[in-house]
Parts: sequence; structure tokens; C-alpha cells
Amino acid sequence: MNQADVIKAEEITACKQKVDTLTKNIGKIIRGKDEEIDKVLTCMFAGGHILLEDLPGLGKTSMAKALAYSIEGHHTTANGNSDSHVTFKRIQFTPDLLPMDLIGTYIFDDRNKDFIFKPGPLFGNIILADEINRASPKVQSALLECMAENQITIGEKTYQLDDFFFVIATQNPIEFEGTYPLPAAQLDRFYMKYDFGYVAEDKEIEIYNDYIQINKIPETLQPVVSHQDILMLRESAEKVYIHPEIIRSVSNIVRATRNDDAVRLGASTRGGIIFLKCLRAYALVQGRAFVVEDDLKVLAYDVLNHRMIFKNHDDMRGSFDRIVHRELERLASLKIEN
Amino acid sequence: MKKIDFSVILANIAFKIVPTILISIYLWLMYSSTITELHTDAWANVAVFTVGILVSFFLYSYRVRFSVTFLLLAGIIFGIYKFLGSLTFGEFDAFYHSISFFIYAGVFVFAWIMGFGFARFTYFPWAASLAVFVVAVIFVVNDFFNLQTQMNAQYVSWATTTIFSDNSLGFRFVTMLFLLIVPVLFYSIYIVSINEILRKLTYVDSQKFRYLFRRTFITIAVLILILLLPLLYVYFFSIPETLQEQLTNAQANSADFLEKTGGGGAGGDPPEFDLRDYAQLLPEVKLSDETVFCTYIDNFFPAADGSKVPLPVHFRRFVLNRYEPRTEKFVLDPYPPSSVPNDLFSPSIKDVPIGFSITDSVIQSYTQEYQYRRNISSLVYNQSLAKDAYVAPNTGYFYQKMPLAPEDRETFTSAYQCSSLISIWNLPPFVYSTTNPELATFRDQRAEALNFDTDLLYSFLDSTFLNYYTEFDTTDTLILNLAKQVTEGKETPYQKIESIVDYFTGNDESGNKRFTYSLEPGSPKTSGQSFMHYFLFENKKGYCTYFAGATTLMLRALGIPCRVAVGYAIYDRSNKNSGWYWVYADQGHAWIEVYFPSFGWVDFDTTPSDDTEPVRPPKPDATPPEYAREPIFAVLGKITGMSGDSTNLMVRPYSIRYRNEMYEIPEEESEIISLKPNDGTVTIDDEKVKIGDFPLDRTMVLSSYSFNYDLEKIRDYKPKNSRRKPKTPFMEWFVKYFPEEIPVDEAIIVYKDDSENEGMIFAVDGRIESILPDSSGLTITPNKIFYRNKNYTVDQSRLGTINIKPKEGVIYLDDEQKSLKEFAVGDSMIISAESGDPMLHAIKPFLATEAFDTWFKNRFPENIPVDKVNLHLDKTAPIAQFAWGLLIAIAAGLLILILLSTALYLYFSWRIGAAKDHKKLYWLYRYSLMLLNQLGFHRVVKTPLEYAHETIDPKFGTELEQFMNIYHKAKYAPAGVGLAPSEAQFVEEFQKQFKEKIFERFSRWEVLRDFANFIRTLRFLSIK
Repeated sequence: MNQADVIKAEEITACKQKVDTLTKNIGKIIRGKDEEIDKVLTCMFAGGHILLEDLPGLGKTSMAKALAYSIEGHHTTANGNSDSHVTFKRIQFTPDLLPMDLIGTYIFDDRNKDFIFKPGPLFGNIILADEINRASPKVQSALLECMAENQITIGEKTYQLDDFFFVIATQNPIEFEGTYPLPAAQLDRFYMKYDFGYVAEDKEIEIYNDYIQINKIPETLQPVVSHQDILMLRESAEKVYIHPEIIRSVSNIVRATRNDDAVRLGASTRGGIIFLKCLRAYALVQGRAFVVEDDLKVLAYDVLNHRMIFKNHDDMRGSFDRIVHRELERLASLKIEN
Repeated sequence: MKKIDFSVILANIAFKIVPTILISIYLWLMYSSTITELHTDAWANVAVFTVGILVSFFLYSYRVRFSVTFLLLAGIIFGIYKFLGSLTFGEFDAFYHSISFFIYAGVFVFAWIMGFGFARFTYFPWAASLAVFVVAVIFVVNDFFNLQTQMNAQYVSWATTTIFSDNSLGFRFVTMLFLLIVPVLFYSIYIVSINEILRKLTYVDSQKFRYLFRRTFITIAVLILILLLPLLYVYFFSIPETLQEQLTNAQANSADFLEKTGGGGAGGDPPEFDLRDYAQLLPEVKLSDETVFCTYIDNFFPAADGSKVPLPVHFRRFVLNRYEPRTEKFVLDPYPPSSVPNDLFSPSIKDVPIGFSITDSVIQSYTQEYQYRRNISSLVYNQSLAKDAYVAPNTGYFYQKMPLAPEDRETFTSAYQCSSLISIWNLPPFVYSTTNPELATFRDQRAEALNFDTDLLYSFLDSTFLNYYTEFDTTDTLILNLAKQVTEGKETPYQKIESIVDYFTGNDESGNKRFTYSLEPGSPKTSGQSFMHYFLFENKKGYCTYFAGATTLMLRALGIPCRVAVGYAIYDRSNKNSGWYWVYADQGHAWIEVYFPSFGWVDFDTTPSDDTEPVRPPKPDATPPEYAREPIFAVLGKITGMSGDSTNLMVRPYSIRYRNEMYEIPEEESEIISLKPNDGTVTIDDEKVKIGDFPLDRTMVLSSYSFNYDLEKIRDYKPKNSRRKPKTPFMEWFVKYFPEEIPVDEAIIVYKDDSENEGMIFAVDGRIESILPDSSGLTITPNKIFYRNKNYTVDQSRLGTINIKPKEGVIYLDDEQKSLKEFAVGDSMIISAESGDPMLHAIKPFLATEAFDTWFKNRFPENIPVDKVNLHLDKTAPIAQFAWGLLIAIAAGLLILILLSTALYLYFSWRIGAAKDHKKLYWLYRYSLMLLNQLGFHRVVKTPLEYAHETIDPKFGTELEQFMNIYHKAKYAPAGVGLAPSEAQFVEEFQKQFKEKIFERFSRWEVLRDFANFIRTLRFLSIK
């Protein structure tokens, strides 16, 4: 890596400051979920999307909303405050949802006697795709292109999406009735799949005490960072340094998943690349200019688990942790080289 | 609940349980080979063990509750026991069955617990290997007393010959220890390594396996070897040294006569020609032409015309049964394996009074079993042979001391008669080239008979015997090839022997002598070259020992049992006195004895005749001495008094000899008889003394040379050819028939030094068992007993313990005087005591008619008075040394382990001080983790950072997390990124603060305790 590419200390301080204000802002609404916020931000700065999997009512939507309201949009409308943040769209996925409901459709313009394109909710910056596995595969795959290529093609015309396009999808656990499991290709588009989980007891009580106030806040939340900042943070994230031994460990982990007895289908090379991207972004979120061994532990499962198929579904975490633990021990025992 | 993988259980059984079963079988069989007290079959025990451990391991692998199942098991065992009791066996049977059931139950429960341990406890194999090791050591220590029998066991001699190709005592001992310890050692290393590997294997993919295997195995092997280093030292250095010492002592003792004859000049005896010079391959030998002895051999070939052709046979002094390739020496092995019979008769000549005899009935009966043995007797008139030397034709078994005629006493020092069972195939060399047709026929018959012993017969021989006498350095292919080449085409062993004889004594193709006799063969040009090879392949010159040695090696190479005999060659020099031979010192000779399964040991001679002296030196045959008069009647006994007129001696006899019959008289049956020396004198030290002029209580011999019709009655006591044992004891019968005095020709005091002399008569070496209750003496287990003139090795099982009473209760502990009262018994004390007590002088000498042990037990007083007692630490007990070595090794190992943590701590501290820049951080990191681990805070699955954040900092208020962050920065940040000044400052102060904060939570005692916990240290090192 060139010296020029290495992120400067001042730059990282600036980034850290922005990340901190953003985290703090979101934290006003989402209580006791600091780690989750970090991970969502990690995905965002890595340039990917996140899939939150959990039961309803645990704050998935609030998270997406809070995030959107905290970022200042690059275009301001005259409508007032609400438009000062980036566009946030929420799509509730249902079995009868059609692709055109997402991407938009051509409608006949009476005046011009022409079909004009009416953009769907996907033309936004932050998209909350709620209960994504309730929709039919056709709809799910409509998301595919825009998530992968950042563009939407309808008929002959291709519409470029905004540079800042971040999908937060939520899904109910697969066992629930009336769901269409996401195909592997679709899952692969998500940088992370994250189990949201319940909050700790003291945090929950805090939430109960403050819920009236909390419920009001999303709309009153002031944007603290700009759309531009996000793009800049994305750039910075790419410059975070990864030590060769950590790259080796990522490779070891990915390869080990392919040979492990408990795993039927291991992670792909793309999984490894995404893992590296996320590691960089996470280091940035933590205010570091370099990746450390603990980052591996924090991210490995979330980044890789939905790219793998385990033989024993109940012991996924256990088998996976053994692989990661071995690499962590290897890294911990390394001497300092430079 | 975690699922249990069946394949994991199978792997555990295959890799852990099966080896454990195997080592148990091995130990159990080793154990039961020495001990027969257990009333159970070894294999049945092994089977019970196997079933127990397998069932238990299987059960407990599936999370069955231990307490419940174990109680159930105990219940079942108790039930069966009750049931057995209720069955109506005989009284003895019931006892027998319950005993064997208890043994089985014990074994089963033991196996059960083993299985439980293997299934449930991760570190159980460590404990198991330690336990097995301790058991093995206990075996060795316990077997101390059985060592002799144990070492003579078949497998030990087999292993010894295979490993060392040297069957000596020292090697046999080391082999035995190794047979026990080495497999156990391997098991220990194996089970611990495999345990570690299996443990890791569950979450390690196959790629890592090899690396892990190597690392674990090497670490554990190195660890165990370090622990065992002191032990190995004991093995390889101390033990063989001590044993070698013992061995040489033993050899010196059994070859005592050689030593004594060598230094015989001191006692005024004429020096004997020392055969030891001959027994070695020395480049030069000087021979004197002094007369050694003169002999009459009653061995003739009866010719048809009634004439007798004298057949002189070699007189054997001893045999050299073992060859030491390193020194190229043939040696007399005093301890051949038990299944190799000893047929070398070495009587304790000094103890035999004139007229009396010693018979070795073991050698006699052993030799009689062979075909074509003839009993011949020879008279030996000793001129310069050592006084206690015994030479006789092969195989001698009888010795009788004869009185010399007064006119011969100038020339000869002593005389004896010996009997031998010689093989009629032992022929003097002249028979090979005889012109006498009858002798020639006999020679051919001999060839035919000896040819009868084919290779097949040899294969039926006892393998130990065969191996012992065919022991040969198989790497010596030169000799092997020569032997094969010389005997090519020959089928029977006899033909092979003959062709080797021809090879050495015959001519080569050009008609010259192949080998020449020379007393100065010279040495090999290059130092270090084998004398034997030099002789066989280059020089081809040598004297008898070269030829005998070379032949022995060649025959052994061919698998024919063979040994070297050393003694005197007998030649017939003149026809003047048929059967009489004069033997000069230059007739000292070495030849070979070959074993024939049907005929026993037969002599062969491969030494060619000496060309430089074509005729035997014309040493004249002197006039034969008077036939030694054999006393017709002799009494050995103790003088208890004399008649008032000083004509008769009152004697309490030990034994009475009449003609060839010897009558032993037990002490309690002995009755005083009256004997009347004809000339009224008694001979003491060749001086005649009047009766009455000497003190009483002496052992003496009274003998009668002239025929006395009255005495002929003695023969009636035990009629010839009667197998029936007479009802009345001999003494009772004798006194009844001879109430009067008996006239005798001569009365000799046998032991002149009986009471005046302070000389040692009895000495004992042994181990102390206990002190007598009244502190007046000691109970000891004798090892070796010296009595009168001979050392006896004692069979402890027959003799048991003996009591000795030191005079005034004084003993010497390493030359320091101590009273018995202030002395406590130490296990490993060796005692040596000697005594010249008159009471012991009074005891009749031992005449080898029964085993010494039994004789000793019956004859010696219950408490033996001794003059001097010396105690010293048992340096010759290698077992005790071994046990100590092991203890020290274990202690040293433990100490090393305990100090390991402190050493590590100091090492890290030193590295921190010495290191610079980022390296310092690394050592700080190691230091802090090591310290925390040692104090009981295990990181387990947490990463160091998490560990610092979640556990350590909240608990101790340290700043480990911050340190870890800095450490990570140093470790993972790109090169060139230095620490900020504040960070550098933090690092500088971190160690001190950290240490203070950690240590203030622990008391000094806790720190010491935790640092001594080496398991934590090992875990730290293994996790890294």
C-alpha cells in the first residue's frame, strides 16, 4: 500500500468525530443498541446493505428511520424541515406486492400524450425493506439489480440511483409461516445479516420510562451529517490499513468454512472480499486507521453466516466460533514484526 | 444437551483405551510371571479388566450419572458375593472362590474407575500414565528379592542376548529394568500426547493435524525426558558401574584360587604356573619346565593280547565358557543361566581332612546320563600346583585327600585321588596316527558314534543352553565365512569338527603346514586389529590358546556348542612306568570341549605339534612315588578328653569313614568313643606331641592304615546292594558293637589354629532385617557367607535369616563406633561381620555332601558370635539407588515445574527491560497475560482485548484495555506509524501500575500458592 493511500491521523479524527455525532444522534432513539448501530454504520460505510433478522417490535424500523433522519440530504425542498434529510422510503413487503410497486412504473400522461416514468420507492437514499421474505421471489429479485448495480432498468431505459443508496432489509425468522426464503444470490447482496436481538434489562426499563418521548423523536431528529459526509466516509474507509496477517486470517477463516465438517457450503471469495470491506469500515467506525484482531471476532459471523449452509442448524454459532477462535489465537500469539 | 458423536467415542477407544488395556496386560503378565500367589488366571484378570474399562468408558461417554451407576455396580458385586457365600462349596472352596472373586471384583472396579476417568476428565491420561509409571517402579522395587530368579527368566536372557549379545549379569539386570520401564515410558508419552491431540482434533481441521501432532508429541516427549534425565543417568552410568564392580568381585571370588596361586609365593608355597597367561591371547608366553605334578591315570585301552595301552587324557583345571569380543578374552563365567548346568567341580580342598573326600553328586548324576562314560580314578601327587588346586580329567566329581608316604614328603606337598566320568571318546592325539589296528578300529568306531549326533539332535537341546554355548558375535563375518568354507560339504557336526581340526593341524595345497605353533606369534601391525583375525588370516602362528579360541569361535559360528578348557596336556614319554605321567609347567594347555547331545562334553585338540621341538623334551620320568596309603578307617571328630593314663583319646565324631563308605553323624546323635593311637602321640603341625601336651576341643582326624579284622564289622551296618535304610542310627549301632577302645595308627590335629589363632573363620555379607528385642544382636539376610576357606553364595529362600551377636554390642557404622542400642535399622544397610570365635572353630568343616545352606542352618548356633561388625550404606543395591534416582527425578521435575512460573515471570520482566520500541509492547503483553493467568484469571475463549475490557479492568481497576489498544496499534498499524507521546508515556508507566494494582488484591501467600500452580503455567505455555 502506498504511503499516500494510508489514511492520515487528522482525517481519522475527523471521521471519528462524524461517526460519533451520528451514533449519538441515532442513540437518542435506539437505546442500548450501540453495537447494532455500529454494525449498521459499518455496512453503510462499506458500501453495502444490511439484512436485519428478528422478531417484530425490536426497533428495526426505528433504526432505519433514525439513520435516515440523521443525515442531511443533498437537495433541500421547500417543504420544510422534513426534507432536509436524505430520502427515506419504507416498503412493507407483502405476498401480493409487485415489482412495479418497488421500482416504479410508466403511466400515461394525459397532457403530453406520453408515458412518463413514475419512480417507485427505491429511488431514495435509505430504503427500509420491511419483512422482505414476505414478498414473492419475483419482487425480491427486483431488488437484486438495484442493490448490486445501483441502477434500475425498466424496459429499455436505465435509471441511475443516487450514489448513496442503502437498503436496510428486515426479515422474520425463516421458520415463520407465510414466508419466501431469500435465494442465496439475494442473500449474498447483503454485506451482513444481523440478528437484532432483545435489549438488556436496564435498557429496556429505560425505554419503557422514556417511550413517549422516544416515539416523537424520529421526526424531530436533526440531521447531523451531510450526504456528502457519508460518501467521504466511504472513501476514507477504503483507505484503512489491513495488516497482512489479518488478511491471511480472513483467508484462513473463509477457507476453513469450506473444509469444516459442520458446514455443508462454505463462504465464497466474494464473501472474503466483503469481509475485508466490512473490517475496514468497522475500524473506521471505531476510529482506528487499522484493523485489529478483535474486529474479526465482532464481524466474522455476521458477515459470513448467511453465505454458508450449516449441516446442523442449531449449532451454527458454535461451529463457526471454533474456526474464528483458532484464528484469533493465532493472531494473538504473533510477535510484533515491525 | 450436547450430542455425543459415536465416532469420537470409537476414536477414544481405539487410541486411548486399547493402549491402556495393552499396557495393563503387559504389566499384569510381567507381574504374574514373578508372583504365583494370586489364585486367579492372569488372562482372566486381563479379560475382566478389558470388559470393565470398555463398558465403563462407553457408559460414561454418554453422560450417565457416575454415583448411581457406581452404587449399582457395588450392589451387584455385593450381591454376587452374598450369592457365592450361600452356595455350598466345601469350606476351602468357599474361601478360595471368594478370594478369587474379590480379586476379579477389585480388578473390575479399578478398570471401571479408569474408564470413568478417561471418559470424563480431560487430564486423566496424565494421571493414568503417572499411576502406571509408579506401579512399574513398585514392581521393580518389590522384585528386588526376586531379582535373581527374575533375571534368569527366559525372556530376559533372550532379550539380553538379542540386544547386547552379551549375557552377563549387568546386562541382564539392565535389560530387565528396561523391559519394564521402557514400554511404560512409551505408554506415558503416547497416552498424554494422544490425549492432547484428540482433545484438539475435535475443533481442528485435518490440515493442522500434523503440525499439532508434532508439536504436542515433541513437547511432551521433551518434558518427560527432562524429568527422566537423572534416571537415565542412573541407568547408564551408576548401575552398570556398580554391577560391573559386583561382577568382578564375584568373578574374583569364584576364581579365588587363581589369585591365591598367583601370589602364592608369600605363603612359602612354591609358585604355581599361572594359567591365566594362557587364557588370554597374549603375543608372548614364557613357559618354565618345572615339574607341576605327577599322576597315575587308570585309563588303558585293553588290547586283545592282554596288554594295556595307556591312554593319557587332558587334566582340566577350569573351563572358559564365555567369550568377550571386545577384549578378545575367554573368561570363566561364574553365573551361567540356571538352565546351563555347571559341571566344573571346585571343591574346598583346604577343608578336607586327610583320608576324607568330597563328592559333587550333582555333577556326577548329570554326567552319568550320557552314553559311553567311564569312571576312572587318578592319583595326583602335587609338586608345585597350588595346595588348593584341583585338576582332574573331564568330568571330575570326586576328591579325596591322601596321606603321603614319609619318604615322599620331601618331593611332594600333597596328594589326592580324583574320580572322573570321562567320555571314552576322549582320545590322546597319538591315536589319530596309530599303527595299532585295534586302536584304529576303535578310532573308526568313535567317528561312527560321534557322527550319530546330527544337527537334528542339536535342535532338541534346551535353547538357553544352546544359545549360551553358541554365543558368537554375528557381525564377525570373516570368521563365519571361514568356518563355512572349511566345513563345506560336511554334514554332521563331528565331520565339521574334524575338518576344522584338519584345517589347523594339516598342510595346505603346497604341502606346507597351514598353521605353525609358536610361543611368540607377535602382535598385529596395526593397533586395534583383532588378534584373532591377525592369527587366522595373516600370521597363522600361535600357541594353544589361539587354536582353541579360534576353533571355539568357528564352531560357535556354525551353531555347535563349544567352550575352551584350560589345564594340562598329559603326554606319555616313556614306557617305563605304564600309566604314570609327569607333568611339567610347559604342558599347561588349552583345548576345546564340544558338546554332543548323546555323549556330553568331548575333548578335541586343534593345536598342531611344535616343530621347533620335534621331540618332547627328554625330561626323565622319575621313579613313581609310593602309592599313597589310603586309611582304611578314619574318624573326624572333636577331642573331648583323654584317659587318665594319657593313652586314649576321647573323641566325639562328626563322621566316620571305613573303606569307601562314609558315615555322617548328626551332632545330636554323636556319642563319645575312645581311640588309642599306637605310638601314643598326636601330630600337630607335622610335629609329634605326646597325648596330654595339647589343649582339648580340637578337631582331629584319627586314622588306621592297617587292616583290623574287628573293624571289618562296620561293613555289616549297611549291607552292600541293600537299598533299605538301616533302622538304627549309625552312632548307636557303632557304640553297641565297639564298646572298647579302637586302636589307630595316626592322630592328626586338623585345624592347628583352632583356639589360639584370632584368624577369621566366618564372615557374612548381608542386609539388616531387624535388631533383636534385647538389643544384643541383629537379624540379617545373608548374601554371601565365608566359612573357613571358601565363599558360599547363599540361597536366601533356603537359609532365611540368621542372627548375629556382636561382642559387647558394638558395631561400626562407616568406621564410626556405635552401640547397638543407639542404632536404628536402615533399610539399605549392608552389613559385613567377621568372626574368629573358638565356638565356630569347633564346628565341623563343610564337606559338600549337602547344600551349604541347609548344612549351615543345622550346624550353626542360633546366635552367631561375631567379633567385628561393619555397616555401610548399601551402595551395591541398584534398585534402591534407582528408586532414589526416580524420587529425586520426580522431585527435581516438580521443582522445575513449580519454579517455571517464577522463571517465566522474571524472564518476561527482563525482556521488557531489555527490549526496545514495539518489542517492549510484545513482552509487556506476554507479561501481563502470564501474570493474570498465573493468578487464576483464564482468558479461555475471549480475545485479549475483550478479556481486558470485560474481566480485568472492571475487577482490578487496571488500564489493560488501553494498553491492549496501544499494543494493537503497534502490531497492526502500518509500518512507520509510531506511538503518540502520550501513548509512549503510558507504556512506560504501565508495567509498574499494572503490577501494583494486581498484586495489591492478593496476599503474599496467595501469590506464592498461585505461582506454584504449574498446571496454570503449562496451560499458559500450551495456549501461548
